[in-house]
Amino acid sequence: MSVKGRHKVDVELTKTKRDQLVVDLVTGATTKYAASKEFGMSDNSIKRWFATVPEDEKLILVAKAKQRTEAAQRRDAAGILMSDGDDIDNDLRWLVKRIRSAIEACTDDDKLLELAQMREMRQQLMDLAKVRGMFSNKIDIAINLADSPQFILLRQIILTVLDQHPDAKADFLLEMQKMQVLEHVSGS
Amino acid sequence: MYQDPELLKFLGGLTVTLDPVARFKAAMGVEPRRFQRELLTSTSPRVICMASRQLGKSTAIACIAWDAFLRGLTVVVIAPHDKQAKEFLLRVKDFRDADPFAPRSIQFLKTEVSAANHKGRILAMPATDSARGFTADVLVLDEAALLQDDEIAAVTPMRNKVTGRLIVTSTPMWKEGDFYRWWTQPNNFQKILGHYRDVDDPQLQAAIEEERVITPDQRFAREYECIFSGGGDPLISHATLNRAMDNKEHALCLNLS
Repeated sequence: MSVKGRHKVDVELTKTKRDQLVVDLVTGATTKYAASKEFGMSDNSIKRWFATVPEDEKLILVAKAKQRTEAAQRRDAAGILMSDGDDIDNDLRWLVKRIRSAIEACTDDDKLLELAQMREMRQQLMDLAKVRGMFSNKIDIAINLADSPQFILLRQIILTVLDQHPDAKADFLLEMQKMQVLEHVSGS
Repeated sequence: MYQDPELLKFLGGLTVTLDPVARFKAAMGVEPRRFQRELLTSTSPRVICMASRQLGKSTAIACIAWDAFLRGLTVVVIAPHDKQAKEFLLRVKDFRDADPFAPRSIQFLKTEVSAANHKGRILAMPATDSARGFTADVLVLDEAALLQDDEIAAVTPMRNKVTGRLIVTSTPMWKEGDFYRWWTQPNNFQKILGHYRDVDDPQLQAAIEEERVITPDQRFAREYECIFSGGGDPLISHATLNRAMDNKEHALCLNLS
């Protein structure tokens, strides 16, 4: 539907959708052609409408969107820091990544000291992640049952009981034979 | 099927302890001979085993000693000489190596085997006064025919009076001494004979028969035929008597023409 004096996009899309479209087009998140397909209108309509949006408005919209994104990221970070550390490895990895991005993005010469501190912090986080990784890796703990007092006692009890019951002893040995226990042990 | 290696070792250890024949087979790689099997499976408090030389008496005893050790018992093995005692412990090592549940912290000293967390001990020593002072759950007199009666009298009291076992093994020697009396007289010993002819090993039998050629009759009779014999050469040797009873021997034909 088109209304005289008003652009098709202004008529068919809500303000929220239009603002988001401006942001997406400016930041390159979408193209005019993709938007035309999405909203069921020609790419020329999108092009003409986009040309009517004042540059100041475009800048304000993009700035607001960026602000919202950063706020969301801050909330995520705070959430991670406030979390119970269910996934500490991932949290540390995420923080290290974020700090690296911040360092790379920082071009202000006046903030050299802060930059150095961030680098230091990043290194510490990486060390922490490394130590954390060492502990969270699967650790093979070889417990030698033959030297375990508990298992030696258990073994004595089993032997004493089975020696008193020849039938049970025979059944046990038969089961061990079926399981090929000695073959497995000698083959290992 | 349980595949956990530690559990399999535990079960394997139980299996060989409950089945000494399986333990022997696992360590030696062969089935035990009949007399060895009798020795291994005997539960008699007094056992005496007489066997031909090199048939595996000490190997069977080493198997019994290792098993008793793992059950927390003290085994004292008395041998005629220091070297024999040390040699005995080497045989015990074979069973340790083949045992899936052998403790890792085991200590093999010159005359003793012990392990942390295990009450068991194996002591192997010559029959001297130093052998006094122990209490043995299993007392073994190895090559008992070569031990003096006084030496035997000195060590036998160390056997635990209530639960202790006495195992005596030897090849026969003279018609005298405790070993001779214990074997020949009626008593409460379980008697086990290991004769080389009863062994299902033609190669070994042939090798022993070859020994006969270079061994004096009496000595061969003692060491291989399991016959006690006194000093001096008999008028008719044991071999001649054997041949006289052998139906395959041809009759003596005198050519008088």
